[in-house]
Amino acid sequence: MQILKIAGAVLLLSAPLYAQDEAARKQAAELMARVPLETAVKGAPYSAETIVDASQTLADGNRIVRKTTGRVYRDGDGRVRREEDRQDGTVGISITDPVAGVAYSLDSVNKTAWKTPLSTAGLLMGKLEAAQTEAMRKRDAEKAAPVNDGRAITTVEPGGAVTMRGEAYRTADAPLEHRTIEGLAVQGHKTTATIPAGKVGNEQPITITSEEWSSPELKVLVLTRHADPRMGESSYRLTNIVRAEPDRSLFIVPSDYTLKETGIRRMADAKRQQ
Amino acid sequence: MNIRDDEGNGVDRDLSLALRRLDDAALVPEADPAREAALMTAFDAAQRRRTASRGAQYWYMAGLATAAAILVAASTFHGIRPGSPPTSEFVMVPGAVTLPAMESGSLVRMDVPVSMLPSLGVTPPAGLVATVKADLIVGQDGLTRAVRLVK
Repeated sequence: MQILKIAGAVLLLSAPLYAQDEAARKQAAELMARVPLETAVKGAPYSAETIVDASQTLADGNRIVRKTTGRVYRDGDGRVRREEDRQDGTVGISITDPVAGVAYSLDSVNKTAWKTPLSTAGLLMGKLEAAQTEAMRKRDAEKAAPVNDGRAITTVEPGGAVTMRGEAYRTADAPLEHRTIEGLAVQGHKTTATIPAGKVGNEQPITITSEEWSSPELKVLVLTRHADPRMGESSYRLTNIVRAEPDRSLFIVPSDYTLKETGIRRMADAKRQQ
Repeated sequence: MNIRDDEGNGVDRDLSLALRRLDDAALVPEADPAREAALMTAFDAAQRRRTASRGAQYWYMAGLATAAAILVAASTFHGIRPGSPPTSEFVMVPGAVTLPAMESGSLVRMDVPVSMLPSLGVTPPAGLVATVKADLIVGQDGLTRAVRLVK
């Protein structure tokens, strides 16, 4: 009986801790806490403005057009700060610090810095890169028999599996002529994917194009364009590129912010232990 | 019937006599005070061990209960429920292969309408729910690359 009393007391003491964290996790979900994902590049500092344009033409001829602006800063050690101007007037800020091994997502309204160990972000990026590499390999292998059979492609890794849903594509890659964008020499390539008629109930073939231009010197994407008749068109580009070391303070969480863990690492660890 | 009674009485008499003779022959030695003291000491020691053992068991059980309580609280604290992974695996959304390379982006946790899941390449979970919590990986261009459900 006394043992039960002791256990009950311990549970009561731990309850506030649980309740406090549950509230924090709930708040994180409501805030849509973001975990920044970056590919670390050292020795190529720059800053630039980013512009994302998206447009979609509806069946009745109406158009939905969206434009998102922001800024990106990268220092010589590979730290990256990204700012995104949101429609509600706030600015979404993320800081990735490979030197400290952490990534932050700043909530400027509540003065909260959501922290995630970079190993988790790296794991996620690694999975995506592995999936994309596998997709490229599969695509190259299928050039002899150019139509994907639509089966799922699965890559299994120690951290789990990434399943890629196959679609019936006929793809073609073509390099684009070198050019200069925003004062940077860039190289590009264009991918055209075609869904043959009848593969997804389509009367005519569906052609999807994707263009990307990157700077070998800065190791950064300068311009990308994507056009899919089902989704519309979108582009991402850098403007006003400045090749200089950004201000150090940009990569530091302001002192009046409260640090909170997103808890993503714990989930990843739990999955690895199973 | 009477004959039988007489015979029975005779047997009882013989048995009583035999038992009395045995009783007279049996010698019960006097209790040795030293042995008695040693026996009592051993008995007390055994009692003490039993009490101590019960105390140790008590604290052992209390410790186990405490550890279990802390484990439950800690695992809940970090959103881990033993035996049930908090998330599914990431699935590349249909068409992601045709998207430009992803050099940066973010993982965004949000409530996604169940009706949107097929377009993301995910089979909707069983049950009558309007939305599910999901992690989306969105690239630098704002386009979604992968999705996983948060259980």
